[in-house]
Amino acid sequence: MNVQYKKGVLELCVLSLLNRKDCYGYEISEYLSKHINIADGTVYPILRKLKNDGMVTTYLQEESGGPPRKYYSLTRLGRDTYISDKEEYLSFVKAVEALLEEDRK
Amino acid sequence: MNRNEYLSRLKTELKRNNVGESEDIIEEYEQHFAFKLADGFSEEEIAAKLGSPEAVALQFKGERSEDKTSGSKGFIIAAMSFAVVFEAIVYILFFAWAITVFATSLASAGIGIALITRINPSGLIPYMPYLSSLIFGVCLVAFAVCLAAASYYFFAYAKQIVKASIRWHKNIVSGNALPPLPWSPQFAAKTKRKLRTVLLWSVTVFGVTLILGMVLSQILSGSLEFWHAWNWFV
Repeated sequence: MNVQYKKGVLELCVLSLLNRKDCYGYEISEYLSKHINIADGTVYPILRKLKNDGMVTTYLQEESGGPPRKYYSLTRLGRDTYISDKEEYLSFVKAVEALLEEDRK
Repeated sequence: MNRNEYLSRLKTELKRNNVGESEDIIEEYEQHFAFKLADGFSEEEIAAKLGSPEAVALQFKGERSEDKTSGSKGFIIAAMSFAVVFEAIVYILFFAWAITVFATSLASAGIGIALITRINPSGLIPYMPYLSSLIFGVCLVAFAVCLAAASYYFFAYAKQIVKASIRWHKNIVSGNALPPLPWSPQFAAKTKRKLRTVLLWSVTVFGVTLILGMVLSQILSGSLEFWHAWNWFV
């Protein structure tokens, strides 16, 4: 699938995950690659973009027996964006589905 | 490709694509390697799953190219510094204007009070009957209040354009877009209402007392040009 197209959808997936709980980068990467077939390296540019856009913030948290992990947390803007983008995406998908069904007849 | 090769190639590619904060990015990939190694994957496997450093770096660049910093950064900074010189002239003019208006307000208030209290510092104020003097005094004080309110607004305006343009410069040079600031001063609704009331009243009082003072002086002196009747310019 087209990378640019996929990226927008992946952003939504990341927001969805972070809406449930704060995660560190690797956690997000694992979660996404478990569900969607993408290169592992794709997640970090998305996280950076979300941070630059003010959708997420980061904080460091000490872990027992390891270096501190960088956690990503949804900002207020991120949450609002997620809610509206989710609605938009779902109605878009529904419309595309209906369109493709039309094609089958 | 092993871990170190991957990371150093990624670093080179990031630099080549002018991606900022590359240490921060590399750190994230180092952690990725650490986690995957702990899960029992080999360095080669991990590198292969990450995607090529070239492709990864391009994705970091992709988010940057949407910013306005598409041209050479050095050129933009030089141009912006050049622009600052001209902008500074405008700011100084704005502030000078506000100061001038405020000084005029002070002078006007001083003369007005002198007229009302009949204090005549070194005979500067020419002869007129006290009634005229009182009305013109009130007129000048009203004028002073009006100018003071205006200078308050001009100061706020000058301050705001400086703030807004600093924000604008920062956004263009650094590329991370903060919301732009408005170019006109933003007052609280209460302040705005107060300012408007003060201006309206002072202008009204100024206009009414000016006309009243002129007409009254003409009647008292029995001449349309009362300033000649009272020998102001002799």
